[in-house]
Amino acid sequence: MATVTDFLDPKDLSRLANHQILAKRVVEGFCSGLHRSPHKGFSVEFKQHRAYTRGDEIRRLDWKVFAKTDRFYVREYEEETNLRCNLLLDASGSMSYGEESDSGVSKLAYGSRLAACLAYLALRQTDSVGLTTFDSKVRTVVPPRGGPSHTRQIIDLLGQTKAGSETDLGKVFHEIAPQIKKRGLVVIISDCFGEIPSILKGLAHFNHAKHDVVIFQIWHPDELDFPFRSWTRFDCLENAGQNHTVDPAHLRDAYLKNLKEYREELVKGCHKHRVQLFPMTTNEPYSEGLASFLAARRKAGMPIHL
Amino acid sequence: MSFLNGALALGALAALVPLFIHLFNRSRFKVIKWGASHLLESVLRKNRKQIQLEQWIILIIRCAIPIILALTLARMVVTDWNAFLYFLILPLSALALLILTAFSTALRWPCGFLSLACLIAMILGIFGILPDWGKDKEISALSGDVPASTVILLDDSLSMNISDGFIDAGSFISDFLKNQHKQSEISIIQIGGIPLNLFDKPTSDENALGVRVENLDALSDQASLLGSLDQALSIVSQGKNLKREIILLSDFRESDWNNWDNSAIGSFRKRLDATPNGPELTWVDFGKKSKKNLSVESIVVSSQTIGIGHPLQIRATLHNLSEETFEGNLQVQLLVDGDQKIIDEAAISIGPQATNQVSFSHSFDSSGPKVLHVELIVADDLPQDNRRSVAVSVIEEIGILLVDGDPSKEWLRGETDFLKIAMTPYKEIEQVSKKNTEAGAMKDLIDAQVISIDQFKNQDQLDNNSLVVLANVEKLDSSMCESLELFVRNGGGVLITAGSQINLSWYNENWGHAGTNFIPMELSGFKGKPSDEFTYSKIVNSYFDHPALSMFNDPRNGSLAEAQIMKWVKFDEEKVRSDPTITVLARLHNGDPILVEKKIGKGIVMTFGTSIDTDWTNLPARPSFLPFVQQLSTYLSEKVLPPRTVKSGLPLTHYLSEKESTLEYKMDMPNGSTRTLVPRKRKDKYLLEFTETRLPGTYKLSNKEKTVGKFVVLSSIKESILTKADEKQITETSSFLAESVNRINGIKEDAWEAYERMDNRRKFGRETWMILLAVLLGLILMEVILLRKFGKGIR
Repeated sequence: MATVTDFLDPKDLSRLANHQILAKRVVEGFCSGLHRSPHKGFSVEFKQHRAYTRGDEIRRLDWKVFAKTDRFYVREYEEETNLRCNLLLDASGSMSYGEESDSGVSKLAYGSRLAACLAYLALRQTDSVGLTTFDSKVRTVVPPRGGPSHTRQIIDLLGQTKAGSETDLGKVFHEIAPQIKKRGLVVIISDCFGEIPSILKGLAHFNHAKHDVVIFQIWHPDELDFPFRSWTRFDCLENAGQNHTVDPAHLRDAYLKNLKEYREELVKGCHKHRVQLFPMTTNEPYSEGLASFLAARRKAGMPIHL
Repeated sequence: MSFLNGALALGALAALVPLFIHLFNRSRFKVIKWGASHLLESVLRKNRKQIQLEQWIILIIRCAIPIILALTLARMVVTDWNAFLYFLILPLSALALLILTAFSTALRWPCGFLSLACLIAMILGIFGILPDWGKDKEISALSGDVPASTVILLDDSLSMNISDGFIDAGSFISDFLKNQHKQSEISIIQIGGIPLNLFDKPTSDENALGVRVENLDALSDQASLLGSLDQALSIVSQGKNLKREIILLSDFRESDWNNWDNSAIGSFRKRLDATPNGPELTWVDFGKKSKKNLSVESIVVSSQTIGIGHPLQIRATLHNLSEETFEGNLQVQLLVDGDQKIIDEAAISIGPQATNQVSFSHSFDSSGPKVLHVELIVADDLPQDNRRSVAVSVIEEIGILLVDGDPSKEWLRGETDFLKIAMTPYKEIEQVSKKNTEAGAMKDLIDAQVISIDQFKNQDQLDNNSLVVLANVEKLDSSMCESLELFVRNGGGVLITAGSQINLSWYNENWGHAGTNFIPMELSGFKGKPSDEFTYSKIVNSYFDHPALSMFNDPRNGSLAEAQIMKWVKFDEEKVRSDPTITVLARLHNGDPILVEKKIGKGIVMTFGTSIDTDWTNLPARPSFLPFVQQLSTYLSEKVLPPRTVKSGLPLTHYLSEKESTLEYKMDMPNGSTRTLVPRKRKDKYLLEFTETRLPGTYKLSNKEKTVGKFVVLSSIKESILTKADEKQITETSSFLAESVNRINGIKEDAWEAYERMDNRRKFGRETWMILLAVLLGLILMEVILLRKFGKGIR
C-alpha cells in the first residue's frame, strides 16, 4: 500500500506551503471556502440590491425595501464556495518512459507526485479534490471530496496506478467532461502525446463547460534532447510489436524539428482555448515547477486567499 | 594496372572492417522502450528512403577509404586510360552522383540514374565486356623522364680484361650514371666469384658510385650469373620506382653459360613473374674474341709444409688455349714471394689446345710463410692468368712426442728406438758418429722427443707438438685421454701402435664404441705368433690412394710388402663399415686392416696394427721403414695447419697460441687494401679467420713484428677458357629466364649509345599515388562533411 511519503515529500510540501491553488475563474462549490461563488442567494454576506425582473424568485424579494420605496428589489448575497479540483492523470504507456533511465523516475511517477502535491495543497485549503486516471479510456475515478482523510484515498489510487496501453486524449476528454457536473479546476497531467487537433477538441469541451483547465505536460529529458548515439531499436511503449531500428544520430535533427513543431502547435492550441500549459521535465524537481506555476497564477491577478 | 608494393594492395581487404562494424552495430543495437513514437514515426515515415540512401553513402565512403589507402600504399601504376577510367574515375563518379542524389530533390532521378550507369559501366569495363577504347591511349612517360631502380651486374671476372672489355663496361656505367634521373636508385653488384654489392643499399649518389667503379679491377673468379641475377631481383623488387631494370655487363663466355641448373632457372623465372612490376632484363656484351691465351692451370707441391733445406717438388700444369705451337720456346719461370728474381727457369714445348707439365725443385734457406709463383713468359690476350701461385710453410722442425709403452735402456730394444731413428736420421747419425758430418747441411724436419709412459702425465707436454705416438702403451690416465681427444679435435695427430703391452679391453672400453669412440676400429684380438718366423703375413702392395702412402706407388721408394708381419692386432671392421670418417690405408694379405685412420674434428687418429719395433715385424729393418715413418709423420703433422692455398670464396684460417692471441693482426689483400683482424677463441683454440676472399691472389697476414702467414686464393681455371658462348645458347637460356631480354652488343658499337637508343623507345606507366592520396583526403573530408550535413535534409 502506498504511503503518503511515497508521493509527498515534506521538503517539497514546505516549499509550497505559502501557495494555494486558486481558481482562475469563479467556480462552483457547496461549502464556503476561499473562492468567490457565482451563486448569489442563500448565504450570509450581503452583496447588493437589484431591481426585480420577471422570473426572480418571490422569496428573494426584500420586503423591507419594498416598504420603504414601494419598488421591488431583490436582495443578493455574496457566497464563498470551495474549489472543486479535478486531477486527470494520464496513465498511458508513453507515461512509463524513464523507468529504465538513470534517475529511475518515469513520467508517470513524476506526474503522480505532482498530482499528490496538488491534492494535498487543495485539501489543506479545504477545497475538494478528485482524481481520474485514464489511458485510452477512463480507468479509475475518485470523485472530488474535501477533508483530510480524502488524501489517503487519492494516495492509494496513485499507488495502484500503473502505465497502461495506448492514449487517445481527445476521446478521453470528451468522456470525462460531461462527468464533471460542476465547474471547477481541471488539472491534466499528461505528456499530451497524440493527435493535436483531437486533443484540442477535447480541451474545448472542458472550456465549453466553463472549467478552468491547466495542463502539466510532463517530458522526459531524453524526449527533448534525443541524446542517443549508437544504433537503437525504439520499441513503442503503447503499441507492442511496433519498433524501429535506426541510427539515432542520423535522425536527431529531424526529430528535434518535429518536436518543436509539435510543441508550438500545442501551445498555440492551448492559448486559443484559454488553457494554461506548463511543460515540466522529470529531471527538475516538481515542487519548483509547481511553485512557479502557482506564482504565475498569483501574478496574473488570481484571487489568493485561504 | 600494376602495383609497386603488390603485397600492400591486400590491405584493401580492410574495407571489410567498416562493413563488419556497420553490421555489428546493426546487430548489437540498444533497445529503448520509447514513448514519443509518434514524433519518431512521422520522421521515419517521411524519410525512410532518404535515410537509407544517406547510410549507404556513408558506408560506401567508409569502405572506400581503406581501399584507396591500400592502393596508395601499394603504389598503383596505370599504363593506359582504361585502368584509370574503370578503377578510379567511374567509381568516384558513381559515388559523387549518389551524393548529389541524396542532396538534391529536383535532380534525384537523373543523378541516381547516372550513378547507376557509371557503376554498370565500371563493372562491365573491369570484366572486359566494354570495348577497350583507352587501351591504346597509354598514359606513358618517356624513359628518361621517370626515375628508375636499376641493378647493374658488373662482371669483374678475369676474362673481362680481354681487349679492355672491363674498361668499356666501366665507361658504360659512368655514362649511365651521368644520364640518370635524380631520384633514380642504382645498385652495382660485382658478379665475379661471390657476388658483392658495392653499397649495402641502392643509392642515388652517382658520384660515390662512379668513384667506386673507377677503382675496380677485373681480378675475380668466374662470374656467378644466376646467383647474381637472383640477388639483383631481390634488390630491384624492393625498388621504390616504377621503372626497374637489371643490366648485365659481361663478356658472355661459354663457361659462364654452361651447366645452368634448370630448376634454379625455373625458380628465378617464377620469382620474376611473381614480382609485381617486374624488372626488364638487359644484357650488354663486352666480350671480344680472343685468339691467343696460355695459362698455368695448376701447381702441385710435394708438401704444404717443408723444413729448411728440404727439397720441395713443384709441378705446374700449363695449358695452351690457342692454335699456336710452341716448340721448346715457351719460357716458364719459378719465383718466390712476388720477387722479380727468377729462382728457376725452363723452356718447354706445348702443342695447340694441349697441356704440358713442368717440374721444379727448390729448397728454402729460411723459415716462414712463402709463396711460390710459376709464370709463363708469353704475350697473350689475357696476361693475368699467366701466373699461378701456391703457399707453403717453411718450418724449422715438426714437434713429435713419442710415448714409449715398453721402454728399455738397451739400444734398439725400446719400443720407440727405431721410430726415433727413422724420424730424425741426421741427428742420429750425428750422435752415432759424434761429429758434424756433411749431412748437417740438411736438417731433420722432425724434432722427436721420447718419454716413457710413466712420464706422460701432464697435458702441457702436448704443447708445441703436432703428433703424439702412443707406442705399445698399455693404458692412459683418464685426464690424459681427454687431453689427447681435445688435441686431435683441434688439429693434432695421434698414432697408436700395437705391441705386447697393449691392453685391448682398456682401449675398447675407453676409446671404443662404448667409450668416446676415439680409435678408428675396436681391437678384437691378436693374430699370428711372433715366435714362429715362418708364419707371417705381409702388407698388400696395391695402388695406394692415400697421400700418406702414395709415395710407395713408385717402386723406387721401396715397398711395404717386403716386411714380414708375424703378429698383429685384429681390427673389428664390421661395426664401422659405413663410417665415412674412417679409412683403411693398408691391408694384410689375409684381408685384415693393418693401418687405419679416423678423422676427428680437424685432426686424425691412426692405428697401426703391429708393433713399431721389431718384436712383431721386421718392418723397422726394411729400407721402406724410413720413408714410411717420414711420410706418415708429415701427413699426421700437416693436419695441424689449415690449408693456405684455397679456392676463391673459402675462408682463410690461421691458428694462434694463447700468447699470440693478444696481438693485433692485419691482412693485406691482393688489391692493396688492408683489413684488421681480431683473434677469437673457438673450442680452446685461438684463431684468425678471414672471409673476404673473393679476389684471387696473395693475402699476407702480419702483426706489428712480422709476417705470420701468407695465403693464396686461386681463381677458377675456367676463366682462362675464353671461348664465347654460343649465341643460340644465350638466346635460349635468356628465354627461360625471362619473357624478353634486351640484347646490346657492346663489341661492335658504343654500348651506351645503343642502350640510350633502346631506352628512348621504352615507355612507362604513371604512378597514381598522388591522385589517390588526394582522393583519399577528399573522401575523409567528405565523410566529415556528410556526417554533419546528413540528417539536416530529413524532414
